[in-house]
Amino acid sequence: MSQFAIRRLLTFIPALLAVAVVIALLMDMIPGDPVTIMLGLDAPGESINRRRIELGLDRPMHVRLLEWLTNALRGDLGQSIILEKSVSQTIAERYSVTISLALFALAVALAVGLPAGIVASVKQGTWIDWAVTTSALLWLSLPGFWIALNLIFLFSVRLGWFPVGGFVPVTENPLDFLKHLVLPAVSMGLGSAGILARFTRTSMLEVLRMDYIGTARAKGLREIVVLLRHALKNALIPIITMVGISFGDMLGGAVISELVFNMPGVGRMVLDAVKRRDYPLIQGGIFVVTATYLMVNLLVDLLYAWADPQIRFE
Amino acid sequence: MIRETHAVDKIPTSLSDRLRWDSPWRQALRRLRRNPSGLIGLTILAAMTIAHLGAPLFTDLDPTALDKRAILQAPSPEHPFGTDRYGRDLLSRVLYGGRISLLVASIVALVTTCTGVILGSLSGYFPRLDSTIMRIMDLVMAFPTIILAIAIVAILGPQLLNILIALVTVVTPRTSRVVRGVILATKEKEFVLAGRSVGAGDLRIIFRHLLPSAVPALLVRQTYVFGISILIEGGLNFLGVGVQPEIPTLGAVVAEGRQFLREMPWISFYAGMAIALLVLGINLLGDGLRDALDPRMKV
Amino acid sequence: MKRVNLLISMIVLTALLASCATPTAEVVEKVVTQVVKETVKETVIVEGTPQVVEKVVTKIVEKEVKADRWSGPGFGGELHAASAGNPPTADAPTTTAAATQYIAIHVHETLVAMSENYKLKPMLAESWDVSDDGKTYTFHLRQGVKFHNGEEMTADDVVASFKRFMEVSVRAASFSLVESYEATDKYTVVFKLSKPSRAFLLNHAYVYAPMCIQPKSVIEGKGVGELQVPEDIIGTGPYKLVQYDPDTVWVVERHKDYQPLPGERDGMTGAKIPYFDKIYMHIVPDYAVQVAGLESGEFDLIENFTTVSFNSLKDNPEITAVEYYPGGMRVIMFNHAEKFSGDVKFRQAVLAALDMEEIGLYTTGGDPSKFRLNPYLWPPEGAMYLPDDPVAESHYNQNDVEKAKLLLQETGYQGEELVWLTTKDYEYMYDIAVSVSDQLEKKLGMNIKIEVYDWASLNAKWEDAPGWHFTQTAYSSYNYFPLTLQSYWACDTTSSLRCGYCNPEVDAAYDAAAAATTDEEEEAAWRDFQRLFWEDLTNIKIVDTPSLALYRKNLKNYDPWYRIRFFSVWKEAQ
Repeated sequence: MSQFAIRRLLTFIPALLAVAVVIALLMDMIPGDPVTIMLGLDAPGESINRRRIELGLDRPMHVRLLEWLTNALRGDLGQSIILEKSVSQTIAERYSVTISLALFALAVALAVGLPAGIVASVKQGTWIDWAVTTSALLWLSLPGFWIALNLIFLFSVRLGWFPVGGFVPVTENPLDFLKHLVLPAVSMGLGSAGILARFTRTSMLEVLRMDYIGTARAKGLREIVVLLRHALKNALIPIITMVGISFGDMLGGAVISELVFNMPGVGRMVLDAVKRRDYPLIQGGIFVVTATYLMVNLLVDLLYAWADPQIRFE
Repeated sequence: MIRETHAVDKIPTSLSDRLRWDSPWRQALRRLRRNPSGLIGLTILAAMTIAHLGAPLFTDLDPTALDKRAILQAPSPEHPFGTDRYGRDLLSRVLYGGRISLLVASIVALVTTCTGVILGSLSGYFPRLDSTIMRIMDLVMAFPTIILAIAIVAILGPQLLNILIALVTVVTPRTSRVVRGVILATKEKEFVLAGRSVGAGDLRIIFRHLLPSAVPALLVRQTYVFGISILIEGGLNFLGVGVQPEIPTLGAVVAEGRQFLREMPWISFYAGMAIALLVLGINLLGDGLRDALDPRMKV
Repeated sequence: MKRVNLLISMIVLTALLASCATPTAEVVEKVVTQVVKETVKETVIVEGTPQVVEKVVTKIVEKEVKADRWSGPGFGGELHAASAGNPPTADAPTTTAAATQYIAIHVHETLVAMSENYKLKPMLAESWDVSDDGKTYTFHLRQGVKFHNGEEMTADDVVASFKRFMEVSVRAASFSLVESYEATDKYTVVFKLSKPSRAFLLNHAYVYAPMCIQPKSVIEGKGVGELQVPEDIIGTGPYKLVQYDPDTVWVVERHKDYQPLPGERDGMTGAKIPYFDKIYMHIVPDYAVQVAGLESGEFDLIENFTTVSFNSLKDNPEITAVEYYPGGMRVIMFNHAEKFSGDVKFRQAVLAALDMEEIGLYTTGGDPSKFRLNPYLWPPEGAMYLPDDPVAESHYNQNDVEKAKLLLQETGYQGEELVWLTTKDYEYMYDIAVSVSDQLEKKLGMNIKIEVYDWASLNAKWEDAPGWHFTQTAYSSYNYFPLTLQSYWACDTTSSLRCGYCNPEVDAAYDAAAAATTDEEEEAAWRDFQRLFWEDLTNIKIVDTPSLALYRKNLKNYDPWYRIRFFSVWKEAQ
C-alpha cells in the first residue's frame, strides 16, 4: 500500500512541473501586465518601464520560470506583485474558505444523493423511483450559476433568510459561518447530488442482484440490515470513486460560487490574479489547486483499495 | 456491448432478408420508443431546437436592436420576457442566443468524438502508449477549466472559437477513457484474435472489429457531452469569457441580468431557464438511449 | 523586605517612564452635562402618619471633568463602508488609483490642500511666501504636528518626502520645474523653480499620488514596494492605517495626537475631526452584496451600486440617497495615430451625428435624471465653469446626420472596418461602446467591430498604437484639479490616455493656465483650451454624470465632495 502511495506521489512531480510550464507559457502570451494596473492609467511611460524592470518582468520567460521552480522546491512561492504579500500566506488565508465550501457542498451532495439513490434502488420501478431519478436529472441539468442566482433572489433578497454573500470564519462566529455557506453549498451540491443519486442507484441495483443478498434475506435478516450491512457496504466502493471525482469537480467549480457569492476563496483569488496579471499569484494558486486535486485523487484511490481487498495495484 | 438476443446464424444474405432482420439496432430503437424519459427528452430537445433555429418565426424583433424607450421593462405583451438595459427584447435574445449554445455543443460533440476515438483507440490498443496518454489526460482533467478558457481567450482574442478549443480540450479525456475501456474489453475477444492470426493489420482490426463495439457507449457519452458543453459554455459566457457583443449568448444574458437581480429578476431567469431546458432534454434523451442500448450498461 | 521595596519602586518607576514615553491622549478640561438619577428620601403624610419614602428624581447637572479630547457627543464607534475597488498599494505617492486615495485621504496630509471652493489653503504649511519673480516658494510649517509614530513633523521630513516623491512617484514629472529644495531651519522649507508656475502649489495639493509628508526616519532610502505595510505607512492625518488586506478590508484607527486646524471642515483641509474610533473599508466587488449590506445595516455607506438600485432605495426611510455634482464626464476617445480616427474631419463627422441624450439614457439604465447635457467642460459646480462659449455650444450635441454625412464623405471613408476597444469590467464603458457604435452604424453606415477585453488587456491595447480607432473613458479629478487634463493630452506626456494626440496650441493653453498670475488670466487660458477641445476633438464629451452616494440615515455630516471623506462625520446614536 505505501509503496503504491509513494509511487503515485512521485508521478505528481512531472505533472505539477508540466502544469507550471504550461501556465508560464500562457501567461507570457497574454497581453497586459500588472504594472499598468498598479500605477494607474495616467502613469508616465518611464515609471511603468522602471517598475517593470524592478519587478524583473523584463527578463525572458524561461529565466523567470526557472527561478520560480527553484524557489518552489524550497517551498517559497514568491511574492504577490499586487498584494505585496507572500503568495503562500495569501493562499493559506483563502484555502480554508474554498475547502469549507467544497466540504459543505459535498456534505449536501452526500446527504441528499446517497439516501435518494438507495431509496430509488429499493423501490425500483415504482413512482418513487421515477420521482427520484427525474429530480436527480433535473438538478444536474440546471446550470450552477443560475441555481445560485435564483437561490439568492428567493432566500436572500425576498425572504432575507440568508445573507447575499460573503464569508465569516468559523472561529469568529460559527452560526454566521454556517449561514453564509448554506446557499453556495446548496447551489454547488445539488448538481453533484443528482449525479451521486443516479450512481448510487445503479451501484445498489447491481449489488442487490447478487446472490449473497438473496442468501442474507433467506437467512431471515431484516431488510434494513440486509440493505445497510450487506448491500450498501459493497455498493459503496464505486461510489467512493464517484465522491472523489465530485470533490475534485467542486474544488474547480468553486470559482463560480465564490464569484457569485463574493467569497474570498482560492478560485476567486486566481480569477482576480488573472485579471490583474499577478503572475506569482496565478502560478502559485493553480499549482496548489492542481496539487490538491491530485492529492484527493490519490486519497480516493487509497480508500478504494483499502475498502476492497480484492483490488490489485497497478 | 450489445447483447445479441437473436441467433447469429440469421445473418441476412438477400435484401428482403435484410429488411426483415431484427438487428440489434432495431431492437434498440424499439426499446427507445417505449422509453418514457427518452421520448420526453427527445420532445423537449426537438421543441427547443425548433424554437432556437426557427427564431425568426417566433419573433420579428432584432435581438441586437437598442430601444431607448423600452429600457429595463418588465414582461409585457410586446416584450414577453421583458427588456434589458439597452431596451433589447429578451425573448428574441433568448431565442437567438440558444443557437450559439446548440452550435457550440454540436461542434464539441463531433470534434471530441474524433479526438476521443483517436486517443482512446491508441491508448486501448497499444499498451506502450497507454500510460503516457492516460497520464496526459489525467493532467488535463486536473487543470481548472475556467482558468484555461480565460487564458486561451485572453491570448487568442474574444472569439467563440476559443471557447470551442477550451471545451474540446476539457471534454476529450473522459470520452477517450470510454473508448479505451471498450477497446480494452474487446481486445481479447476471440474474433479479434482470429482476425490477427489471419494477419489483419492493426488499423483494420481497430476500425472493423473494435470500434463498432464502442459505438453504443460512445453514443450515450457524446449525448451527455452535448449537455455538458452547453453548461460549460454558459458558465464561461457568464464569466465574460469569449463573448462577442453583437451575438447574444444565453450565458451572457444571464450575466447581464445579475446586477439587476434585485429589481429585475426576469433578465437572468428566462435565459437560464432556456439553458436548463436544453440540458434537461439532452440528459433525458441520453438516459433513454442508455436504457435502450443496454439496460445494464454503466455509463 | 528590602527586595520587595526595590521591586515596588522599580515597578513604579517603569510605570512612570512608560506613561511618559507612549503618546497619551491629551487630557483636557471639559464641561459635560449629565443626566443623573438620584434616589431621595422624603417624608410624606399618609393617612395622618408621617412616613419616609424613597423617590427617584432626575436631575441635570453640569460637571467639569477631565476627559479624553476625543470624547463627547458623536465620538466613538466604528464606521463600516464598502467599495468595489482593490487598492493596488498603500504607498500613496506611487499610484493614481482611486482606491489608494481613499486610504491617503484619511492617513496623509500635504503642505497645502484644496478647500471646498477650489482654493488652496494651508494644511501642514501654516503659510507660504512667493518671491516677486514667482520662482521661490518658502513654506512655514505648523509646529507641534505629530506623526502617527509620535515624532514631530519638521522641515527635514518635508525634504525627505519630496526626495522620495521624485524617486518613486508616477507624478514626479509634474515637479520638473523644481531646481532645488532645502530645509533652511526646523520649520521652513524653500523650493526654487526654474520658471514661475501656478501649477506648483496645485501639484502639492493633488489628492492622487499625493506629495504627502512622511517621517524621514521611516521612508529614507526606501524605494517602491519597500515600505512595510501597515507599519511604515505613517502620516499626519486624523487616522492611522492599522490593517491592510487589499482584497478584503483596510482599517484605520483614530490618531490620538491629531491636531485639527481650527474652524470647520473645508474640503481637504480645515478641521478634520476623527469622530470614529475605527473605520473599516470592506472591499466588496459585487454591487448586490453592497446593497444588501447597506439595507441590513452591515455597511453604513456603500460606493458602488446600479442606478436602478439607487432609485429603489431613495424612499427607504433608513437610507439617505444623494446625487452630487461635480461627478465626472464621459468621453469617447480616439486613436490619433490611426487612419480616420486621426483625422479631425472624421472626428467632427462622428460628433455631428451623435445624439448625446440617447447615449446618456443607455449608460444610466434609462434614467434621464442621472446625467446632464453640458457643452462646457466643467459643470457649474466644478472648479472652472466656463459658460457662454459659442464654440462649445455650437459643437456639442448637434444630432445633425446630413452634416455628418457630408463631413464623412470628405474623409474618404468607404466603409472600412473600424475597431472599438471596450471592457465589461466597467459597465459604463461597455454601455458607451454599444450605444455610440449603434448610432454611428445606423446613421452613417459605419462598419464598427466592438472588441471586448478585460481591463488589463485593454490597458495594454491602448499602449499599442495601431489596430483600433475608438475607445472610451471618464474623467473626474479634473473637476477639482483642472490641470490634470495636461497629464492626459500634453505632447510630451507618456500616459497611455494620450493615444497619439499632440497639438501645440493645446499645450500652449495649458502652459498659459499654469503660468497665469491672476484668476482672469487663468480663466482666459482655459477658455482657449475649451474652444480647442471642441475644434480639435482630442476626445468627444458625451455627458456629465453625478456622484451618487448611498448611506444610512444615522450617518451625519457626510458630504461626497471629492470622493470618500470620513473625517468630521459621525453616527447619531439611535
